[in-house]
Amino acid sequence: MYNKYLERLTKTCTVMLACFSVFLVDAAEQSSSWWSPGDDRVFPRFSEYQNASGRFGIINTAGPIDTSKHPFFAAKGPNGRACVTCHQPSDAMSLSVSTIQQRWRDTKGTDPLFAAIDGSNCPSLPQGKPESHSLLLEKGLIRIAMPWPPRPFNGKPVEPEFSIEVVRDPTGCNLDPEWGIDSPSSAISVFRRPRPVINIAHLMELPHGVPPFNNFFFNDAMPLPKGPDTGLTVPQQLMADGRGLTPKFQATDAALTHLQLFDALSDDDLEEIEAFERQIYGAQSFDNLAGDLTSPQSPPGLGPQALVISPKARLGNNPLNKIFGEFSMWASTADESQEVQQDKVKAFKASVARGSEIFREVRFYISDVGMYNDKGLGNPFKRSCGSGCHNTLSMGMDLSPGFMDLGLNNFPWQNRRNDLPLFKITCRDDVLPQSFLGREIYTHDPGRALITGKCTDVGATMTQQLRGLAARAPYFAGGAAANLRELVDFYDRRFNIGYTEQEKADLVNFMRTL
Amino acid sequence: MRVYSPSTTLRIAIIIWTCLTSGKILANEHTAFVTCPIARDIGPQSDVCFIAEYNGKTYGLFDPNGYNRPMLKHKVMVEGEVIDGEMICGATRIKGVLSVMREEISPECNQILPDDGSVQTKNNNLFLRMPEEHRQRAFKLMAQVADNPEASLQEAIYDPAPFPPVKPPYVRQKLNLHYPFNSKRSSGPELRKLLYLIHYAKFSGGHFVVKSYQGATRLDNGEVMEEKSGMAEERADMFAELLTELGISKKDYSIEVQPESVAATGVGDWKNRRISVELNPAE
Repeated sequence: MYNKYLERLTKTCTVMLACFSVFLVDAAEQSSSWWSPGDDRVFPRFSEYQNASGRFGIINTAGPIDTSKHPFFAAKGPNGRACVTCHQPSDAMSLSVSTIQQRWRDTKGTDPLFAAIDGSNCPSLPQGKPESHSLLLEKGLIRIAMPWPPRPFNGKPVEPEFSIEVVRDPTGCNLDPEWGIDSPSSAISVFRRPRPVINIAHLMELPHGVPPFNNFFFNDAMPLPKGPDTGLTVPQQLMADGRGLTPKFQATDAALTHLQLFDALSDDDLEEIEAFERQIYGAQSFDNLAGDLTSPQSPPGLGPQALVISPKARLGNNPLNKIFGEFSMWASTADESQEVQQDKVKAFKASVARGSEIFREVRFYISDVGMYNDKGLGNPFKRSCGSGCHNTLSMGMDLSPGFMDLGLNNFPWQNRRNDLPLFKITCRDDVLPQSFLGREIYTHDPGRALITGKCTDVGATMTQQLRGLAARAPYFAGGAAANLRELVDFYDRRFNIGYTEQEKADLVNFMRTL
Repeated sequence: MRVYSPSTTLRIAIIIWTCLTSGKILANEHTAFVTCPIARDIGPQSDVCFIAEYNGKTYGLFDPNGYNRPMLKHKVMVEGEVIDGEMICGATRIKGVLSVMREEISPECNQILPDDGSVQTKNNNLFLRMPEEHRQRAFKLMAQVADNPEASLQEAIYDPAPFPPVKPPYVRQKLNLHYPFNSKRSSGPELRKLLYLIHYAKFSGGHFVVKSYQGATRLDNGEVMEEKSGMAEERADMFAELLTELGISKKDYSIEVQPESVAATGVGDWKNRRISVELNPAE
């Protein structure tokens, strides 16, 4: 009883403190959301940032920090960028297309964000013209140049199991004599969305309650890798293709590529960056229809405080946790049509509650997903969104970390993309084929296979957390879904689910509150 | 000596013959075949289960050895004993192992039977599979949710208890890890056993003797399917990596590879696809 009282008191104080911090420190935050490298600003204990659906809130558990010289926020390399350039607080520490377009308008394309190296479709294109930056401006995509053949992974040499051919090259970069596959540096250019650098403490926790896969990679039942900087076993949730195993490793890689730094970041800088990334928790904190998502009357899994109090890396697909906790307080049994007219707020909340239930309860056949159905689960595997690939408590990524080909990169499932390069992968006869596509695969992004060189990994990427979705459209690694409705439509088509219009709307409403 | 009439003798003979041929006195019939799996929908709140039709009979496919479930678009090799009277997925159970034939895609294996209500689904509540103490805590939290919704964010599924310390006298430990056909992926339950063996070695010290095998399977139709050449070596390499990753230094284990497939007999051939591990404690 006393403990419960203390818990409530603590929560109330935290919320009050958070609100007070906003009032004191953060009054100007919403009017000036873009964070330029080196801005002389304080990153407060709690901040909120406007987006189309409401506000995204960030709790910085270590308290206010001066960012002017902080290595996450200060420009480090010659191109004037910092980590914050592509991981904006207003965009759930990712980058939305609306923000990118606004930045282009505000700076006439001169912001370091649009640096030739990866903020344009190819460095060899004439810079400063919108068409040279179309993938960033229209889909929020950053160019990632992956070495080919793959560099040694975890210190082990990689002999690719497949050859790769550039079938179509709309950006020109894969066939470019200086930057392409046949250039002296031999690289494959793929284009991906920046992942949200928020709730990293959850992503870096080894999974619990799934023995022996707390220490073993589900796909091959081999031990999970060890962080090169720590020597400790780490999950592989951080990056889409798993090449950066720890925040420090990721920051090092990003500094050398995206920031074009000549020398590696110092140990002190890396320590500071990792500490910062592990101390910030974020989620949508206010919804334009539902109101304050952090109030005691709201579902406890909403708002950034939920990420602070929630245990990390736990299975959420059970009758207690329900992935994002209880939503029944928003459920409504009143007549739908009446409600819409009488009380939009109540109707919206009821829709969110239904959406949470659809997310975790409505099963469908998950079939032909490379590196998922074939890792022992069976084909098909009948699960819901929440009991399948998004089963982690409060976060919604896949707990037993797995890279998978959901059809977002590979033919025939991906949305036809004329703006992205198209590769033909031909696997050797003596290796296992991609389980459902065979040994000849057409893909916009070979994904994990560019790290491991394995045919079975072609097109596979790591599932993502579902927090802050309203702040960071478009979705999927290739930015294929412009909004949440397109995201739902993709899965409905991909898995032949047959959601009704109402169910789709409920799912969209549910996801926008996360 | 008691003498039976011819009719009684005949009756006894018939009874004995019937018992023998019905399989209830004889050991269960062994079977091995490769076929398309068929998925069966068993209701909106359940995963699908799998069956296979072979030689006019329908069998329920159950994978007891960890996650190695059948896949449509691929054939499945079924090896084991037919357990008459035990039903899985609405069909006779085969106690044994399944191997998905992943080398090639078989588009013709693509049948899903709709739910016809004939298979009763098990309760899917994860809590029922947990240890009693954990289950009670989870149910207690569930009872609190109405008054305290935050309880729904507390962990309900816990890590298993760590292995208890091992006390002397230390004795030789043996473990077999079995593998699907042409596969080097261990099963989750067997990995747990290996982890216990390594835990044991931390107390006992000693040396691991590892032998890696590959096998062949004699199918019911007489065909013998051999694992691909080099499979035993691939398993050995992967196992050596596994031991190293788990903290066993090279001086503390030896690995012997048996490169020739163990001959197939048609009975329990799957047991030959294995790695055998023996821990000989320090003197």
